[in-house]
Amino acid sequence: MGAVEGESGAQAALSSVTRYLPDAVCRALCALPGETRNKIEEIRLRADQPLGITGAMGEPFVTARGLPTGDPAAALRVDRAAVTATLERMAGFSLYALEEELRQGFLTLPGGHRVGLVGHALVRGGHLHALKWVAGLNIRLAVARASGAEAVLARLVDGAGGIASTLIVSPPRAGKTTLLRELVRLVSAGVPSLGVAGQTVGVVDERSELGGASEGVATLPLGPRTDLLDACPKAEGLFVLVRALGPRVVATDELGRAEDAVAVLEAVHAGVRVLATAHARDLEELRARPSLSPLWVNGAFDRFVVLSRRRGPGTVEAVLDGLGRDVSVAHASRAAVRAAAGRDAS
Amino acid sequence: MTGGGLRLGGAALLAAACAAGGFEGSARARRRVAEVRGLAAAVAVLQTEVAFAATPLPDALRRAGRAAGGEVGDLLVQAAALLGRGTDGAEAAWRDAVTAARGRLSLRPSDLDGMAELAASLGRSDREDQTRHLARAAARLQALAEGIEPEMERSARLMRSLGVLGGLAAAVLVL
Repeated sequence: MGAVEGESGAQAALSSVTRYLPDAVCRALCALPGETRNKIEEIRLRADQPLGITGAMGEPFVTARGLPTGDPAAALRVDRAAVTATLERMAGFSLYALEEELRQGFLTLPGGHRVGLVGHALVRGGHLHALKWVAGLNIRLAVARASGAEAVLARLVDGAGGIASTLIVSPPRAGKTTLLRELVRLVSAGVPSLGVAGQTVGVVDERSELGGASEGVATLPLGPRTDLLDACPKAEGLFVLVRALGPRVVATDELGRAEDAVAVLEAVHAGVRVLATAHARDLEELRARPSLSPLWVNGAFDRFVVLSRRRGPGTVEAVLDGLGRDVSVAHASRAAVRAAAGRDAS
Repeated sequence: MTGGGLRLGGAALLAAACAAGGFEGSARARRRVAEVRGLAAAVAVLQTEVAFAATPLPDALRRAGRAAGGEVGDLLVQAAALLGRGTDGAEAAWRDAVTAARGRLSLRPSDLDGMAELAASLGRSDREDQTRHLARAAARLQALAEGIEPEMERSARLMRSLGVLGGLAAAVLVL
């Protein structure tokens, strides 16, 4: 099952999560005007609060009749029982099987839709042990939007048809995961027009968002030469892939912990190229993150792709080299860039 | 056939029918105990699947049903199928499965009280809590089986005897 792009993709994504939702919420969302429905990026269910949605249209509430509104009192109220019932359906009526997810505060539905959870935290030894009495769900729809991935890939190719180790940087909801997934698929399949031969890619998908895997098998397109290690902590997963699967490229989402940086450096020093993402508005903000500083000190990445939502999710603000210089034309083949840009535009 | 022959045949049939009724009652009492024990065994399997493998509930119920076998096993497999189809949770799936299986089970409605209570909490909490619920249900079923087994032996013997003796008495009256 692959994600569908654009508006029909938004519809398909919404349809694939409605089966978990309470009837009243489902009816309200399905009755939304088409232009609003197609822009939904997140659905927010909060106990005893109005039904909310988030997307390019802002953060309106939704009435029982499917009208966006700024008035909380006019919106459909979601009670605690509805939140609980939704969570139980999402968990396949097996909450005990999702202890790790509840501890981390999110779970991933088939299709790669991520559900963030809030509620009463149980703390043991100073760390979040589990969530009890889940009181809010944020369902982030995984919609494959046109990512301009080929145009970006053209700027990541080195002279020998290999891929430069690349870190995609943006604030949340700016299209990092979508771009990474597309890059993985392209590298895995190969792009002859860019001189990129298909190569083995290992993916560590800690949050099951890249592959949207069901029982270990990707439901989103990751390419024919991709080995997916699903629901595995990034650092451990990278070690396993490099040691056991012989990838030429490894990919993982949302670097953030010190052990992630160590694992990336291990992979880079083992001659494997790394595609990864990290939360930050720009390189300056990224450099200020202490846990990732070893990546700077050791020059782990040769390219940085900076994304924003300026013209919608996935707006490419810059492709920079390790020294922070724009590499859009300096290092890449002009013809390849033009060809890729033409294909993405069409 | 003469009138006397007919009466003799009718009396024999009556005696056989009463005896068969008695034997059926006796067998039903035995099946009831076997089904309670089957449920206890299924709950033990369920407990293992939940506590050690965190198997999703529909799969866990299916495996427990297959392990138990018989009508009780079918009941659990049916509940698993209903749950997999996205009903409103284990409680509703169990209730619907029991309703569908009524008539095939030798269990009394009260024998299923513990299971109904268990179903209301199945899948709705963490492993530690689920394990506690399952252990309580297993213990309750075990106690039920031990409580009804001696009674079952007595009532099975009684039903067999009543069936045979009642049949003979009815036959004598007919003759």
